[in-house]
Amino acid sequence: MAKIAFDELRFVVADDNAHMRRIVRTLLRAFGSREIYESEDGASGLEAVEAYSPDILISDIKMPIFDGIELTRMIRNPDGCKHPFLPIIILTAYSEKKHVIAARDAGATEFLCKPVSAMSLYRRIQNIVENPRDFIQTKSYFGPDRRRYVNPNYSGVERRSGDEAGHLVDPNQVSLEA
Amino acid sequence: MQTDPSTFQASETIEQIATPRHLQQRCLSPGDGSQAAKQAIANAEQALKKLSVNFDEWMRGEVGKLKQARGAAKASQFSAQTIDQLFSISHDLKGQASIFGYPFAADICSSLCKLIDGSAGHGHLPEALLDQHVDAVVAVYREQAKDRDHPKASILARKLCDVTDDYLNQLRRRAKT
Repeated sequence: MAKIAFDELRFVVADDNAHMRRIVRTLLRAFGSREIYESEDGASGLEAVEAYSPDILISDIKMPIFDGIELTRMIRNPDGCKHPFLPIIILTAYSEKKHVIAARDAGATEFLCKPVSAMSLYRRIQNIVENPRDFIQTKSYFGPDRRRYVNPNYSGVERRSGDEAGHLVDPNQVSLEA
Repeated sequence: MQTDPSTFQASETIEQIATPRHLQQRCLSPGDGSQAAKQAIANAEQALKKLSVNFDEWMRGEVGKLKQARGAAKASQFSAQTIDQLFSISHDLKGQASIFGYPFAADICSSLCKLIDGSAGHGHLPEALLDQHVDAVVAVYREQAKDRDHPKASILARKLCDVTDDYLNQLRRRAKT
């Protein structure tokens, strides 16, 4: 485990609840972060991402205007957002499986259930910084690789060009245009 | 949307893209960071402890909002908008009440969210059960039932969860027949 320079990390925290924003900001500042921007709905979250170019977005799901899942989808559109690779932590009280799957399929990087603890938030950020996952692009999905591990028993067709060819696509060449 | 493996066509392109490693390059310094991690987490827990002087006041405000939302829902004869507002506040408390020191309030609000969400599709929200949930949250706060081993709060939360589960199971069974 390497040391994380939190003072180098810039965050946007999107949550419509002021208490929760304060709690997350308190945790991040105690970790050592100095640049933390807040927004209280999905639209201002997207604006903050465009304006401040954060290193990590921490977003609630249930927010006014558009929710955290929609915000994630908008960010993961390389033709619509300047930061399609932005690591996104979904921090929500929606703990049911359907919400975890919705967040994953929208392109969230990490999922964290409220109540948040210092340890759980630190571990998610650590994972993002130390072990960034490669991205996958299909007609209907653009986001972090949803395979968290290699299944040694998988016997189906290998569907990834990078897997087969042994090389990866240059991130600068990404576009979802048909 | 996830690709359905059963409909997968061999010709569909799935590209694997190398993610930019700029965070690794900029924010990681070599060496053992486990001590730094422990320190950062301890600092954060300490900071949260300092912040906790506000938690009772915040909880009071949230419980007040919950009562107000229930009143508005009843006054509107449970319009979609007021039910959504009630769900929203209950959902916030589900995520926050444990941090504020009221884990049973979080459990009760979790059950209330389940009740509202599960009843919505069936067009009937049981008012008495909804009242019992809101009143239980008010009581947990009033009695300062913070410990997990608080006997009355424990029984109250468990009963409400059980009754809600039974009610929603009945609704599902009725919908099937």
